[in-house]
Amino acid sequence: MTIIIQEDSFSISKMISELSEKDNVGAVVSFSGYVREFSKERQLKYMELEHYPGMTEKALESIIQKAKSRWDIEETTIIHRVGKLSPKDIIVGVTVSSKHRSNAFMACEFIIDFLKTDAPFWKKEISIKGEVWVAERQEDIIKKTKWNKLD
Amino acid sequence: MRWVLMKKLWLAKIMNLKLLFFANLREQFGFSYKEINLSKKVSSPEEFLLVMRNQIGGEWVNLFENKKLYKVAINQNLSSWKDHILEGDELAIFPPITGG
Repeated sequence: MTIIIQEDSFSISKMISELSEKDNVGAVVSFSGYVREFSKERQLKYMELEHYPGMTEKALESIIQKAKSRWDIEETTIIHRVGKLSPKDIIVGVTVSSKHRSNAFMACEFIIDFLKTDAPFWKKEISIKGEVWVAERQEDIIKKTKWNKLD
Repeated sequence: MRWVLMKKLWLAKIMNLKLLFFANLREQFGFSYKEINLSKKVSSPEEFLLVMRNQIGGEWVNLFENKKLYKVAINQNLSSWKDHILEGDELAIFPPITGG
């Protein structure tokens, strides 16, 4: 597994091709998340992303381990950006490879669902109206709970 | 005389904790990391907040009263306010996570 936290941008297509070139890969599923221009009717100027170094990497590693124990997957890469991000910028990329597609599909969704609630990142939105720390979304908590119910 | 003073200082610092704040708490308290020397041993993050509220007050009063709105990690593992903490532990307090 590869886990990278960085300020710089990255290419999701490069992440996909890197996994597809490895042995035993029949499928690569990817998720990429971007900064939206609008949030609750407020036009975003930019966003600041903060994280807890050390715990972030540990949390992401633990999420990938959980996914590996549930599905037969080959490789996983997570890249998450921190620092100042502008509208339309890429924030996060998750790629999962497997022999057959369904395992990679499920594992990729599982990883991003848990990343949303368990990996210590915080977003602050800066708009013309001022600054606001983003509140957690109930939908994210419900999505994570659904996986727990499947156990 | 000096020995008495040193003993007093030593007794005053019963427990050391590494405290981290993130996001809005970092802004409210004005720091992200501090080594805290407590004059009283505490066994949980909740008790730690209680001691800080009683001894320092200010922002700690709000944090103690609103602790249910925040999360706590002990040595980089998500924990509960009633979990056990030990000498030298790293305690992080932060709002709910909003990454991805």
